[in-house]
Amino acid sequence: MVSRRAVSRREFLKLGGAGLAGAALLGTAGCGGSQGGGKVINYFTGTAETSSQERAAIEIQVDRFQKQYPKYTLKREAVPTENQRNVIQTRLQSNDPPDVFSYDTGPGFGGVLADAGLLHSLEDAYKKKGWDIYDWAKQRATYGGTVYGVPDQVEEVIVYYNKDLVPEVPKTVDDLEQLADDLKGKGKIPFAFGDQEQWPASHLFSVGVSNMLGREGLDNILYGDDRWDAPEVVKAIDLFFRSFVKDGYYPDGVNAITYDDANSLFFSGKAAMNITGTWLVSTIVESVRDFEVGFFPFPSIDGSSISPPAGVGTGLFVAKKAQDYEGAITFIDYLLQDDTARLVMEKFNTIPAHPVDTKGLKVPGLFKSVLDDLSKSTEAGAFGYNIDVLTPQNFNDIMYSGFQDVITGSRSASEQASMLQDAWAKAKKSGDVPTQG
Amino acid sequence: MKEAGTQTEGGGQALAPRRKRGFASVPALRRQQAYYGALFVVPGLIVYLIFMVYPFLDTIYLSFTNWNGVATSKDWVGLSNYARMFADGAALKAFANNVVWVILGTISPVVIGLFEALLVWSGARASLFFRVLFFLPFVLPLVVIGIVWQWIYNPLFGVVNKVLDGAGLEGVSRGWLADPHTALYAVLIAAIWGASGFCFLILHASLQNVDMSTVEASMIDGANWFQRAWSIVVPQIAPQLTMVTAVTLIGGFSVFDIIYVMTGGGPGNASEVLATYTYKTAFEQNEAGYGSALAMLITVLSLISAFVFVRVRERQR
Repeated sequence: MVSRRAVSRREFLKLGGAGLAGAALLGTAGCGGSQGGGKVINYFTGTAETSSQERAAIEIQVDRFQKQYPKYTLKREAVPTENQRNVIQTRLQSNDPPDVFSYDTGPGFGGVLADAGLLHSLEDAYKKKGWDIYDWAKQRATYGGTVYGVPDQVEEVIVYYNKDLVPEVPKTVDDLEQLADDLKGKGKIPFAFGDQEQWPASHLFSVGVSNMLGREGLDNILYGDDRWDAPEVVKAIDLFFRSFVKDGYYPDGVNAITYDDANSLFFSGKAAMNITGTWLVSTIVESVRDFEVGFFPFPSIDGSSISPPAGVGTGLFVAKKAQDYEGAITFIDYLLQDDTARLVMEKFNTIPAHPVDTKGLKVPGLFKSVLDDLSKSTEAGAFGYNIDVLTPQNFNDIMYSGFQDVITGSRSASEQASMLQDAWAKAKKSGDVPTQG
Repeated sequence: MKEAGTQTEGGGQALAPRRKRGFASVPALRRQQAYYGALFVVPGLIVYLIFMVYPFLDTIYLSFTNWNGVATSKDWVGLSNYARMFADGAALKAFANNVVWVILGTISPVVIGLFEALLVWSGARASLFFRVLFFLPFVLPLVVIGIVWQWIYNPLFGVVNKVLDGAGLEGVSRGWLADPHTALYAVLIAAIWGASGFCFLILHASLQNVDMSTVEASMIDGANWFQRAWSIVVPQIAPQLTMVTAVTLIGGFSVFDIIYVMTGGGPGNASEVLATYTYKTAFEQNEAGYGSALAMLITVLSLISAFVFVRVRERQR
């Protein structure tokens, strides 16, 4: 027989207290962390693309750093990139923010945090440590005349192609369309494009307007008084989101295909070309086994220039309320050191936003070619812009949902261009657009 | 053996203190019960106040400001966020989608759940199998349901298109979630399947209390299956039916997860509902003030619809 025993108030409180203490202990243990000694630096970042890259990130950012700087313990907290935005805003306002974090550098991202006074100025750190970030890249993390971030990656949007399916690199859009028709005839999908997440379309748009307007033309819109409803912009929208859709150059149901699924079409050889960023190089190297991959900048559109979009990806920022500002600066400085940057390039095939000696670098051929191409990015004017990292969120939202509407035929290219201009005017009025210097 | 309290004198003396003691102990016991009651309620109440009441009141306040969700300053803008709502095409489109969702997404799972519950209850063969089958959607989180149905509809490898193609209906197959004419309904079908599990569970449980003698009497009187179900069984489970409908109805105005996972409100804003639009406004566009006003609209709509539905139902009874 089960005996019942009344629990006295004191026992109840004791048990409750023990339970709470246990929960607290478990909670503390669940926070994770890294073995090391001394001061703790909290680093908040996005998870790497693949698990092997995630392991490499821990090796470089945690283990190697702690070995070089034994007085620090680096606690690395990684969340999926798409969740970073929601988490970081709340964390920075709390009393326990990360000391250093990686985040997009655009005005709708880092700019908003700087305006809210949540970021630590890095003017002194730049001077003291002599960080040699490319000027144009540094400008991307400068808000209201003060530099708040350290750009850590340069990107370019290019056209990857399957060398077995594309015998010759097209020089004009007419050549490209001819090639796409041939590929369709062979039962292949010309372009691996999926826009379920909505942002992939902004890369195509960047390619289109960068070619149509060139760097200078884009500067005149972004920093001057030119408009987004210009005929060149309408042409770019029409080409990528109406004409190519109508001609069947993308897989069916493109708005319901994810970026990853579209990439898989390319990796598996079902699609011949893939217009995306250099951030995909390492995944291509890991995933493609049966054919060789090359790349080319998107060709001239009706005699336009060829100005592939390039720019800064993410940057490193220090929280205004960082518990250990010095530690955060030490960590950034470590990441910018030549040997660390070389290691990052070898492991992740990403391009740093500062000069690095690339002699003897052990990297795949595809990455080497990308690197050579991007080395031109220091030459102003050679490249266009990746638009969505420069434009405010209200503009990006019109881009993201609007291009889906153009794809489905619910909106015309000129209507979309007008809506982009309206959103831009609104952002300009409220001071949310980027500044040049 | 003498029983206590039966003695004339001593017993009277014995009864008196016992009675006195008994009367005196009632308020003490109540006080003790109230004390323990409060002890158990207070932690929950504190949690409720902190995590429900305070954010709710704060949201009302924020809806009158232009806070961007990050800045320390919040400027009072009066009713302008509410005025903006009525001129915002995207918000009106989201509201219209919500109305479709509430109507179809409330009626369908309740009807399906009721039919499934009656089928199992009426002793159909393999009822255990059907019980598990119908119960299954209840145990799956909506996010999982969303992901699975996203695969089902996938234009590259989805089952729906494969079956249609196999049946020679290539002209019908399409990117169901990519087409603005089908996206909302495709998500709705997944959500109806998900919600039917809950309806089945509650209604099946309520059917166990149906008075079988009335059912048997109606059978003797010659009522068919539908007549028995509609006139004898359903009135007996009316309270549970009301509860299930009210819960599904309220959920219809605050639906978020399955749409966010399956379409993100797209293509364009074809499947946007108020909750996904609110999320985008508040957390992606950094317009927390306006987002709060939209959140208040969802709350008011949910409360009104639930109140009206329950009142109508009570009047009918």
